[in-house]
Amino acid sequence: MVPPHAFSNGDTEAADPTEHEFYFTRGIYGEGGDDDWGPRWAVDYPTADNQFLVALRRLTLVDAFASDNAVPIDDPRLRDFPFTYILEVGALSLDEAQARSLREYLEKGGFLVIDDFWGTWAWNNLETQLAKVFPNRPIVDVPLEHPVFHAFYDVREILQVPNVYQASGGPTHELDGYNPHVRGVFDDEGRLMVLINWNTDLGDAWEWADNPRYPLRYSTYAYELGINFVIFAMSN
Amino acid sequence: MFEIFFKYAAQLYRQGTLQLEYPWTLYAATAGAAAILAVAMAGYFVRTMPLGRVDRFALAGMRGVWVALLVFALFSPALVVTVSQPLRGDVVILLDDSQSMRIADSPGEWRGAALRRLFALDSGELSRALAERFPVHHIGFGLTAQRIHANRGLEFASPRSDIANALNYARTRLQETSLGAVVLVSDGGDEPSAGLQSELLSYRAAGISVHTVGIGAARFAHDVEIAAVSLPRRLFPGDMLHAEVTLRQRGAAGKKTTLQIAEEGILLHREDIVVPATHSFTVPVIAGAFSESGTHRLSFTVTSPPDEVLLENNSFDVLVQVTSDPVRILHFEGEPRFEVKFVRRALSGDDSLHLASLVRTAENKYYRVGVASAQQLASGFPGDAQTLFNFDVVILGSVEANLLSAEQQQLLKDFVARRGGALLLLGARQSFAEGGYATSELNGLLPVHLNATQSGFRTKVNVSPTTIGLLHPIVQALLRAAPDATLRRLPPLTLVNPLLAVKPGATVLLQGNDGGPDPFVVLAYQRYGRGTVAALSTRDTWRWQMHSSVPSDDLTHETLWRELLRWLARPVPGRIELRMEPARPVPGERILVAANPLDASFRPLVDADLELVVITPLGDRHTYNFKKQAVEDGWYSTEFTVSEQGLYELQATLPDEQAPVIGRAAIEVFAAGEEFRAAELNESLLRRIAESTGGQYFTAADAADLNTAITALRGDTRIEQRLPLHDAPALFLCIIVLICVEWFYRRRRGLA
Repeated sequence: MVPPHAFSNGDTEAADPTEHEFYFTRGIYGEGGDDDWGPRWAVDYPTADNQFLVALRRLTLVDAFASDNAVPIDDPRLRDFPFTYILEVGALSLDEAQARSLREYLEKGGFLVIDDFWGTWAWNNLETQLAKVFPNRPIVDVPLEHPVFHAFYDVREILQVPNVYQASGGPTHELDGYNPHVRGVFDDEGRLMVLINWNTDLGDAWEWADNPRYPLRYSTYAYELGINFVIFAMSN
Repeated sequence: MFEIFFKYAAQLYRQGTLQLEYPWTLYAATAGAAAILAVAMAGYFVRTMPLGRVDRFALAGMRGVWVALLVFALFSPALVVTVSQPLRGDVVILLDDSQSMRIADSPGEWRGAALRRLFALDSGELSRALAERFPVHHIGFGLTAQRIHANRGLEFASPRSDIANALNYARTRLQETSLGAVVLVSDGGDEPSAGLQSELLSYRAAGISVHTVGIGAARFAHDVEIAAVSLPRRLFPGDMLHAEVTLRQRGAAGKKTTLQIAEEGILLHREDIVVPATHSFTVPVIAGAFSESGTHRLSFTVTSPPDEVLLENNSFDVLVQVTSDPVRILHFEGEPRFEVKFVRRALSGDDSLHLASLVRTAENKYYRVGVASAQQLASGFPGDAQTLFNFDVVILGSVEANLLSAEQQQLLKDFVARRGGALLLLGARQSFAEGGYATSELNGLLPVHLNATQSGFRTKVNVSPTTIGLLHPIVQALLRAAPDATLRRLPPLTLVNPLLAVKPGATVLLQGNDGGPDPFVVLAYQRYGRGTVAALSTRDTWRWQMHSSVPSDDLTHETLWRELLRWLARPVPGRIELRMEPARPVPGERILVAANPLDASFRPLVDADLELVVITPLGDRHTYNFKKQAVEDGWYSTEFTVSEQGLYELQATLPDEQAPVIGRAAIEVFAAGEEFRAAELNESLLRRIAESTGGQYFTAADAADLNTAITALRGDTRIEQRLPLHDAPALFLCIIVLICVEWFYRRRRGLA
């Protein structure tokens, strides 16, 4: 968790959804934020998004919009973008309308990637919030054999990707989030709708990928996993 | 004058040859004649006769000439000429003994009664008249032909009238040498066939005329008939049946009738129809859905208007094949696109549609979803026919033409034209003109003109059906899925390939409008060779699934893709297709089953070991082996006889390396065949039969003229004729004149 380089208060304009096949869409939630960190949804925003898009456009044939695209999670315009990324969900608090909107988005075919939240307290909050969206759907571990780990790169392990301050040595975890997990919520047909990266911070790895001090191992892994998520989300 | 003196015309003398008859050899006869002549002339050279030298020779000459003429007459001279003589043959009366002769369509007299009145064995008016002039044979015909005699009359019970077979029976059983003419008495209730054409040629070659007598009314007074039902080649479980029912009417215009479709007594569809003024009209119907695979027997019926002549033609039974064989679909994208995901979602849960998605994610890097094995499509888009032709439908998304090699483009052409597969092109930044297809081999396949485009994005294109599209199963399914039965509520889509025109023969089902003057082509298709090519020019149908204005329970997107792919796949042939003839047999008929087994590349097999299993209505299984057809390369045939009414299931099996290839079909044996379909008097067929053999066509009313029209001459024969000349007046006149002149000369010379 690192403060955003470019602070945003959510007054963003969604991009024209018809020009490209893919938009890396960041979900806006909550109101305001604390003074130091700004709104939680905007952590690492927009640098992480834009840096990820650079790699996505260079390494794959995805016709991706080159810039960030933040849309409130209960905004009808979110339906124009079937891929959404949110993070810092320890602070997520969905009201009934937002939960319904998110449920419809996912049931219609939207794909949600959750990232950068650590420890038991944040997990409990996410469980609580997702229960509002899907009262009866369990959150399960996504096995490494799942296609999402092999859609573009063969990812064979789940790494804990640390934030920029903890990447240069010492423990990589935050709070009590010692072990990284990739978990998911599946629909009745067995399709992955929500992908949860717990106790890991892909966003920071994207954001700091151009920083020589940030270990290549983590940024490479984060890009591989992120690209896999996109390819998978567009095809499955 | 010549004939008075010489008895015969001069022409005969020019053509003929003179012949004499004499009792001995030519030399003896000549010697005898010379002796007689010498004795006769010798008297004038006796020395005692007081005659000068000139008189002796003159008188001897005159006597010699008339004696020679007399001897000539005694030798029975004759003129031998070759003349033609007409031959008179037997007359065969072929009487239609089929069920349609029971129709009572003429005032006061049903067809069979009219036939009996004119042509009954002993009592028929015309039979008696013809029998006075010719040997007459009566033959009744239906499915088979048999002589009619005192113990076997007409029953009008045959389920089919086979005119070709009847003509063949008459010609072969009576032998052409004695057959003079044929009278065919029928309502013409038979289809013109190759067999009939061949038989008529045989009659024409033999010079035997077939005169025809039409029985029945050329137009029914009041009738509604189901003439035909057009069905898709096969259905998949869950499909609605889209059928076209062709009806014919007489005297029922403006009246109401009800069309019903039932399966095993369960009503599937009911529709009231106001009969139009045209004689023939088509009603599209939708019934179903059919959840179970197998053969379904459907009965189409129309209710009867008042005073209808014929009730038997108000129903039409058909068989519908619902196949459990899944459709194999390959979706190829040259770049990752959300359409891949949402097409997969749309087809999810549909066991009839097996979708393999192949997405190029980077140069030479592919992501495969839904493949059957780890090896399938591992090296990208198929480069050989065996792999590509394993699919029924191919979808090309954002695939620039150059991504496909020349061989792969040719394979795709063959896939459609030869294999009979379906190709669907989707709108995308690398498809149609934008993908370089205008200059590619594939341009010829496309139903759209690639040069008739507008540049630039169209981001707010509202989609609507075309007029013809409203009748199409895909659009009708879309409208059924819509709560308000329109597409207006759906969000606009994006066109990156604004297509404006289709090629001749193509059909536009959906069009798009962004407020401009010309509508864009959104969904169009055309037939190409054995297959179909369709173009869906929008880039993002997934918006019909995801957009916020589309309710959660809206199934428009799923319906579009399922119906589109099912419709494309229905006509796609397999490796074994079976053809049966006749299509609607009756008990006792032989069924010819033909098949053209193909190898995995869909090329004809020249030496196939093909077997047919027939399951009868009673559940008995019979096995037959196909044999190569001599006339058509790659075709094999076998025959079996249907003995009972009901459903016969056919299964042809071809051994193959992977698994046996199976072709299935079913045929229903009907009690009445097609006897009551198109049952009005078929004058045109009967006229054609008569005219092509030199005969004449008669109606029942003017059939009396038949007796005078028939000459039953089987041509003529060339014979030699001997014309006697011994009594020719010129001969006797010469003899008398010479005797008189001799006598007068003798008197002048003082002789007695």
